[in-house]
Amino acid sequence: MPEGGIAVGGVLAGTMTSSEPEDPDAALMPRIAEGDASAYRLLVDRHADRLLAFAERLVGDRATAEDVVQDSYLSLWRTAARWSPQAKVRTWLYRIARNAAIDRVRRRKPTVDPETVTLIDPGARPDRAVIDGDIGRAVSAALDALPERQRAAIVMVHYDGLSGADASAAMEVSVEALESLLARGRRALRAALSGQRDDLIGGER
Amino acid sequence: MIAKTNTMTDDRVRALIEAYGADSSRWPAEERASALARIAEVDELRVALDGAHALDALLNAVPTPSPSPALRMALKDLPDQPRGSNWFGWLGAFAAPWQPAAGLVAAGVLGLWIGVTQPDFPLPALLDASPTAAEADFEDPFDDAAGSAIGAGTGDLLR
Repeated sequence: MPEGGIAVGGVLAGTMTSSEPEDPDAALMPRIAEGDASAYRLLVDRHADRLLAFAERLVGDRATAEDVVQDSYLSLWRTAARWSPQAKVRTWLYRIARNAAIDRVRRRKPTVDPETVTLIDPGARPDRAVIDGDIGRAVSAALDALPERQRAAIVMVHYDGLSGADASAAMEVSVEALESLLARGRRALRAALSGQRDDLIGGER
Repeated sequence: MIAKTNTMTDDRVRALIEAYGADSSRWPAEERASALARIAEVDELRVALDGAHALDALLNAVPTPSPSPALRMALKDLPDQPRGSNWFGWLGAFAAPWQPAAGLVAAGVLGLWIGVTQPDFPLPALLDASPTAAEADFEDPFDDAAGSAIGAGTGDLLR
């Protein structure tokens, strides 16, 4: 298995506890590490679409998101031997994809501060999109304006259905830190959309 | 975390709602039942839950990015690509050893070419300058010491 790919840090992704169901992808990883392409392709079938959606929400454009997913799977193919059975494969993939997204954006913007980076240039402001009558775009624009860490946390938990434990492992933070990111992100979204919330959701509050 | 299971506090319920939203399926499984029980008892928590519902509804209005069958095919072909098929990638693999050596060879070839083809090539004035009287009279004892180590006086070699 050649070296290279995206650095995924020391401890590899979400730790599993004995109470959790067994990771259905775990048995594939040793086979991939041995160069079994059919095992690798099973992981493409199981996760590629969801990873593409995650990457697109994170970086904001389709072409870069596809590059991110390619980077991620290349890294998976090359570094499967580094995967630890304590980590869920799906969580590990999310970590690789997020690192790949940050890496891609850093190449475009070399002086990015990971604490404040938004990854996406928020072109359309929420209020502009609301005037256009496009709720989805308004919310997308508000999401795009969030710092990357807050946005990644919200995308993983709200859209991709990762548990707090898995999302925190994918982001290499504690569950408490993840919950803080989620709460700050949701608060910022509420503030960005507060003026239009009644219009957007038909008065529901 | 502030509290779990039987000791669920209102603050912890608020924290769960603020972080994970109104859909309790996103809350940590071990806290879910006790948090829902607490919400059923406290009006203020129900209001917080309604507010989170509103934001969840907004988030759900964002369309889901569509899958890409072409990307999936490309990903599946990835193991069949010969390693190092990228020319620049192949060069990159050898970058560390050959780059300094190539620089040295290039500098040597350039110097040789200038020496052979341009004998009158103007050298920097510093190299061409004659020693001053003081420099000419000064004998550096370290020259001889260093020279003796290689079997000759370095002063002789330089003069």
